[in-house]
Amino acid sequence: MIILSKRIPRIVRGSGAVMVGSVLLVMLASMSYTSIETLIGNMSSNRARFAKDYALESATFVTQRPLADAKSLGTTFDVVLEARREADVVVEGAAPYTLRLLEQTRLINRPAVTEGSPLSEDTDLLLGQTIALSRKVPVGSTITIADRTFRIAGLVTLPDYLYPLKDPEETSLLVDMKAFGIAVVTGAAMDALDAPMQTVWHVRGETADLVKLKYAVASSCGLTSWMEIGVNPWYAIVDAEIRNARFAVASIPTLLLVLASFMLAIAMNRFLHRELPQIGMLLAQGYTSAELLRHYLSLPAAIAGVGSTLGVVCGFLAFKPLYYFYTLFFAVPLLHLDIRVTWVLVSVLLPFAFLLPSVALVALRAVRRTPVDLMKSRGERMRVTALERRLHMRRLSVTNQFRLRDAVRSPARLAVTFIGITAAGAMLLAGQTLQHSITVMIDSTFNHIMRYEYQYVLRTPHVANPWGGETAYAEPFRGTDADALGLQVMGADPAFTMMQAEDASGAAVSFDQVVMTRPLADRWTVSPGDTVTVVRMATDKSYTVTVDAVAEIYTNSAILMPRDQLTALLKVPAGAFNVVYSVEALAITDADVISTTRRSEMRQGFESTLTWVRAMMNILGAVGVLIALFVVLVIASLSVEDHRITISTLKVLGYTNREIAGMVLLSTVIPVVAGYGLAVPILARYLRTLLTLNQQNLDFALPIRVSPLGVGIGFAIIAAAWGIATLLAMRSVFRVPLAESLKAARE
Amino acid sequence: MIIDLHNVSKHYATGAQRVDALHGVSLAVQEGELVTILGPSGSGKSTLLNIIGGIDCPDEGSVVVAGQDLTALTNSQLTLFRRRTVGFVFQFFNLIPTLTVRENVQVTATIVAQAIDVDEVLAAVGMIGRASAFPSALSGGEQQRVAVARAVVKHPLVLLCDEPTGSLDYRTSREVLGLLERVNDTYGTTMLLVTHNTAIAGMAHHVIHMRSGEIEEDTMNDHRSPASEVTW
Repeated sequence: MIILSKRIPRIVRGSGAVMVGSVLLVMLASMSYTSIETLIGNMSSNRARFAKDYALESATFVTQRPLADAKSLGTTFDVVLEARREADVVVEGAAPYTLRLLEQTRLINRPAVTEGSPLSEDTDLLLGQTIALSRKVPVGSTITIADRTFRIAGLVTLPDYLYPLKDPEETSLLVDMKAFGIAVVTGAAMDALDAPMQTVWHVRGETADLVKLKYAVASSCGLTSWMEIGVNPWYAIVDAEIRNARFAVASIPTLLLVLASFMLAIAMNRFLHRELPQIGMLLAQGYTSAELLRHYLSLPAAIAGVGSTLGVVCGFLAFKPLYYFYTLFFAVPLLHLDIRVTWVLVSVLLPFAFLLPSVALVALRAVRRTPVDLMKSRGERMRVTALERRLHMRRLSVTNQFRLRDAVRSPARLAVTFIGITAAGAMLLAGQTLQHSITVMIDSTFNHIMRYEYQYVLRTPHVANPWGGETAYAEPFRGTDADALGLQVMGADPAFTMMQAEDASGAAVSFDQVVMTRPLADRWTVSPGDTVTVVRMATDKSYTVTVDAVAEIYTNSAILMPRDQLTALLKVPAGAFNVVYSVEALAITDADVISTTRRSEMRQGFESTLTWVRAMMNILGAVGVLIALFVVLVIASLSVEDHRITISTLKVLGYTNREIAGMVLLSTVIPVVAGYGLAVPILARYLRTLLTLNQQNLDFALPIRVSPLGVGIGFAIIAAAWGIATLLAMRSVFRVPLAESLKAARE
Repeated sequence: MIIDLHNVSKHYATGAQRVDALHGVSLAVQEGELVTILGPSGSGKSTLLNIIGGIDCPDEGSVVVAGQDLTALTNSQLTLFRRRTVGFVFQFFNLIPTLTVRENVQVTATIVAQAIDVDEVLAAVGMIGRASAFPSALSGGEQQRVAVARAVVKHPLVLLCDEPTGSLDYRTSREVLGLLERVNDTYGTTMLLVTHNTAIAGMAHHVIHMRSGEIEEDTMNDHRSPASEVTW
């Protein structure tokens, strides 16, 4: 068997395109699996480690009145309580941004310094990792806040601020990382700060004890807000990313390996067909079928081994930059680098699991035939397929007849081209489609739905409105199941003009009924007429409402209803409000306001997400182009091999090289065009599936819209890749000697 | 007696028609004999050879080669039979193009326990000087020499040659015939040689004429000529 195995490297050298293409596909598959699995594993394990080692909170709350005796409350309910003052300040400059200053804590949510050194002076500041990286602020530089200069001693991440949203009610996954960040300062620095601040309590304890604490605090001090860590998007959002990455780690390597398996199976089928007489001879000389099968499986095994080894190495090398990229958005510190044997084993063995069976199926068909039968097999396959018999081609030129026959004569080759181009097209279009869909969502939200410019969230509810604008009453709620994101229930007057909405059919939705927004309706699969149960966060009391309409408002999970209905339901004073909307700035002091949001800031946040979408588009697009190039090159090479004798005969007959290349290579046009055509609906389906998987962690709904311009650009790129691959394959046509057919005729 | 066939028949179905490739063939071959099997195309020569070699099975009759009843053997046992007992030389050489001359011979040498030394066999067939060449660099005659070496290196009891000179020119054919004669003399290998060239019968111990699937004539050659004197 060792002697036979000497053929393998020689076969590889002779079939460069197929082998290189297969190894590269396997390598890409292993690399993507390794890097993404390592990323998921480390994000997951490091988040858990971070939460444990740095005492992540169990819940956070804000009281309406000061909390008197935190220590005795902690003892009574067996929980740990710690207060943390926080203040939002604007850092002025060419591009101002908001920084949330947080008081350094010692018991709960302890800061982790990821670069530089801890706080040693009251003029030191630890800047949030994500804002520092996105704004490229170096450690050691200074920053001026509220007329005080701080030295950036280091970069920090907090276990309860893994994803720095300004408000937990903000839409997750779409934020401007340059617009908001966190920073940690000493208590003394907070004392000296001349800026409005609020005290937020953080608690660690068992769930049962927390419930008792919540009721006790609500009854003694009143609760402005209560949020458990499981529904806190600052922490829980990482789950969405892990889920996305899991989907990617399952789908992308699988697709690449399926492509590689198909390609290799076709190549091996062709190769074995040429080897049939030799296989017959070897069987006649006494080789067993098992020995020959092992011999022919050594080639895909070699491809799997080389490709997966390279892929694992490259995957681990790619992990750090990938993790760094993710830390631009999710501040999970790499406390410990986990590398598990299972990841390596799966990454190495997975290609074998795909390639060996596909080639074994092909090889078994050959080695099971009798030696006599095998030795009679010679030359090009003359088998006419059923599809070919049904084609009526008399009106076509000889050249087009040849192309059409060639295309249908090999269904497997047709399938690989089709699938490969579909995958490549989908990858190319994915980024463009996402970008276009986000643009549509942004335009719809900020140009049509939102009619206000300012949103003021008040510290306490009011009944009289001395400021102007239009008012609403809103409270955080959650569903009855473990819904990580929760929702807002808002009551406004039926004549509320600060928002306008339509339903899916385009009809205007009025606010004199119970209206659910699209993200929530998708998450809970609710249609008009359905009844839902919601739980008020402040009191844990349940309420049942019937949804009258679903509004195509994409950017919030909310239920809107007439204010009178809501205030009656919640037993708050009629006409109460805690949110003010206005077109112009209102003179509401910081003492009355928890947060102020401008529509233009929100829009900027959404638009900044297009930056990473473009980065993803470029990476996916590059992979798509590579796949298209390899698939077409491999299929073209196989075509040339299949038609060697025909090519030689045509040369003898007087055809030019270009004419022959046109006949042999242009049969791939139809599957390329058809494959790309299928890519569009497949991509839309893929993206919808991705979004559905993330529904539990998405506070927005993304209307998938494929851009016609994007489709056109994608097609141009695929066509260019096809052209390059075809030109490269033409050289093989030119190299086929005239003598090939004459030698075959003699035999 | 190394080969003993008794009342062997083989037929094929081609569409609705039945073709009797062999019909009631009986044959006995002694050890060390050089046998030529002559006949026109379609007479059943190759079918007979394939059945003796264990790569085809008769529909009726018994086939005993080197003491083994081939009709009673399973596929695995037939493979072992071919490995240990039989060597094949084909009309179209069937060399492996991605292996060198030496490696092509080693392909069969490595699957038997007691093979003849590869270089010795290559020297015997006059190809030791081209041991590192690939088949594409060899002439037809040279390729056939390598094919003979490949078959002989495993020291088979029986060497089956199906039209070994069928695709060679006159001069090369005579060289290959001389080589086969030397192998028969040197190693004592029983040799069955299928050919449609009647002149080759002159060098055989035992001549069988076939026609339409039957043995028409089965004679011993009292006046053998050496291969060098065979002309046509």
